[in-house]
Amino acid sequence: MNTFTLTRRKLLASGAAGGMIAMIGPRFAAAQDAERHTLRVGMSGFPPAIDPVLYTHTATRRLAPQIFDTLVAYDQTPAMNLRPGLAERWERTDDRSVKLFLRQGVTFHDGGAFTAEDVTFSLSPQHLLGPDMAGKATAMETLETIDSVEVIDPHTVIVRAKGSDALLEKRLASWGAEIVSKAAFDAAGSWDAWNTAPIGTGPYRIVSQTLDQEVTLISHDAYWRGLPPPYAGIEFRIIPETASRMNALAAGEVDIITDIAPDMFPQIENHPDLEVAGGPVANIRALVIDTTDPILGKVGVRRALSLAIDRKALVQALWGDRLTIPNGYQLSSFGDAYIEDFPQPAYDPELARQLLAEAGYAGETITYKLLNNYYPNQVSGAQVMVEMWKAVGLNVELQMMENFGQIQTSPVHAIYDSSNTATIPDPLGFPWRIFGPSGQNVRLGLWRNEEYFALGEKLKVTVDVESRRSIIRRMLEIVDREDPPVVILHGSGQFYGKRKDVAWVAGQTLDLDFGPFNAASVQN
Amino acid sequence: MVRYLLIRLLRAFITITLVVTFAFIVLRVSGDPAISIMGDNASPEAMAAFRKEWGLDQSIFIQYFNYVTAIFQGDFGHSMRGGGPALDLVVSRIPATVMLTLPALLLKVAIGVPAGIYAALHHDKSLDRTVMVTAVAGYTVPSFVLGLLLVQIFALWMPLLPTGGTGELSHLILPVLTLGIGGAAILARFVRSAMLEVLGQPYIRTANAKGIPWGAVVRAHALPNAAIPTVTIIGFMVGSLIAGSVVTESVFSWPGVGNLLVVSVTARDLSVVQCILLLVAATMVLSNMFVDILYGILDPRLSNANSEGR
Repeated sequence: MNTFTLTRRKLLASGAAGGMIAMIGPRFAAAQDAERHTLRVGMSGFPPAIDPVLYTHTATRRLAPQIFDTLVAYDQTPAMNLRPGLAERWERTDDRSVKLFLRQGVTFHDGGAFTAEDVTFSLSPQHLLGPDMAGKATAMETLETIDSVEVIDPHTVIVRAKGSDALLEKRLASWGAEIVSKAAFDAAGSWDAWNTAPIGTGPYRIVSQTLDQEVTLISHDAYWRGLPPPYAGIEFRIIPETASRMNALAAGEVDIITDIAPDMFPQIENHPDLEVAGGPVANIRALVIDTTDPILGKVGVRRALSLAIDRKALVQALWGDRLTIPNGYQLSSFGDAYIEDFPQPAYDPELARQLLAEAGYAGETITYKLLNNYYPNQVSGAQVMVEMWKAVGLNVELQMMENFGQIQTSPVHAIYDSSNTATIPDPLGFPWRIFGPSGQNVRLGLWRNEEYFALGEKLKVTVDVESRRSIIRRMLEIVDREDPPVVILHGSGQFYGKRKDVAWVAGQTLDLDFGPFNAASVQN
Repeated sequence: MVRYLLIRLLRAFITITLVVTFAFIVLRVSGDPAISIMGDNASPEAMAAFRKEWGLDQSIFIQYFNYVTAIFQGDFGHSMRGGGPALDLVVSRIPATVMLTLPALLLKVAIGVPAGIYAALHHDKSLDRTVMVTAVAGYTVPSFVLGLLLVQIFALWMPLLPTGGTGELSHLILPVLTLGIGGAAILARFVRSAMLEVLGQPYIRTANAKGIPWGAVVRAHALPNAAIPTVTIIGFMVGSLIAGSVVTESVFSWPGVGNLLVVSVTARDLSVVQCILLLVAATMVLSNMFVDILYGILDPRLSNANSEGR
């Protein structure tokens, strides 16, 4: 066993070493700074706003992690564990309250100090509800249960929910919970002025934005995680055309491009300097069913639509097996709320035929309202499914539409594509948000299930893990086979083309993280 | 002449009104801007607040009345995406578009007119056929295919030029070529047809029989008479200076009016789309009026006929 003894010689040596580090340290940091370059990202769309409380737009989400921090954050691994953010640690004080100990010495992009006052403001209706507090802000989807923020001292707060809330910590890590500078918001004077350059504590600060052209960020070198952020800056260049984004990547004009289509994978993989990044994200692709339609109202017909689809073949053929097939309308990132043994949607043409016969289905036309590849591979997938349905006797007719407004015009009387994201990795942040009383299916008058609604209300105030799991299992059964509001297709993916020499790992959500918490930086 | 101009102005006003009204109705019945701009994950409350903020919760007649009233007060509405005045946004994109379309127009004329004349003067010879085959190819290849082909050659195979974007002179070359080549092909075909028709006229035979040198016959008799159809097609090209490069701007991520139109239509940014359409209609109508006036100068018989109300 080695023992450590401190001698005068060792002490002198360690002192000398310390001196060397002190001398070399800044040079090392300077050298690292010189090595940092500006990352160029070819993005498909321009964000309608930078402050994420205003829009759930994909482009806004892609910028948010660079500019803002949350008190608690997801680690973006498949388990979506929580990690400390602007709160160093936190503890439950009761079913509806979380005490958070805020990190000290954190500065905003404008040099202002981060304190409890900024937390209070960021989570207040004045900020969350958006311009004129008109309820426009989409942050309330995840944060509506928050009742108050009590300031204990400048670096300690207690966030209280309106009632028992098992998800309070997760809410503080989710969409819209980004912390902004109260002083900078007040100084801006208006939402319009604020949105030109919102101030957060994130690893990069905004330099400029030109509508439909670019958003430019520069490193926030005083970022609280210690070492400066990995890039000197980030240029988000807006290149709406997929082929043009691909060309820009191949020509070396950008380092990463978003939203690549599956048919571009071979082109990228055959290029010596490029690779495909990304994979499944917390999102499920499904077909929404208008259950008020006389034919689609029959549960047997709805189940037959699902049973006739060979999802494995679909994912293999159209996505090169890069997507997952979820076991029910849930994600494995739900943690304790994930029902592992819940079955995947079955492929059983025989049962489909039998259910159709029992439902008295006689070949009536079922309309499938379809957008022209709003989602990748949408049209090809629809054409394949139409053939699969035909094989069991279902007569599904494609009807091309231009946008969701047209599709959702009442009466819908059809099936149509949807893609929904888990705003919180929990049933309350995903299926409940869609199938609950405020969800899109119910709001559009396409589906109602009173038992489901009652279970959801119960789930909202249940904290005990086993009790929650029992409720969730029943809710999954209703959506899966008892009264399906959708046909689950497969999990969604976000795929990116990138240069091989760019160290970056895609996360589990739409968010892009080019800061020091990205898995590639953490590994280094 | 005054009466003629007044009639033309009235027609222009009716045309623009029809375009604006049609665009207004179609944009509103064909999709909900709240879904396009807020995203389909937005809450019902957020959607309702958005519609209220932009007056989309009112009847289409009230919306139309408010819109027209505002136009006469110089208010073209605000962008739902950017928040600023729609007119300012559209006007801010015009220089970029003109920077692309004006050189392209010059290129079209510089290539198309001589090529058409040359082909007509060498009718049915191999040079004529070569020019026409090239023109048909240039005319039939869609601009997005031509654009991507040029990018493939000059930005990827031979990395001489950027694939898209803006900022330097080099960014202009490929989009201008894309626009110019297709337009030159169209112009060459028109000029050739016009020249062939004129060259077959009796007065050309007469001039020839008089012993006037062939070059002088072409310059003095053929070219001026073939100018009418040529001016017509160039007039259309001038009219489309503002919005004639939608596809090319998209392919090259060029921040002009065409690109703005595509993004705004996709996002259902109603005020911006309406403002662009109004501008395009006005440009087209004005260029046509200008062409009509030019007709009179090129061929006084037309002017006299119009003045006499025939």
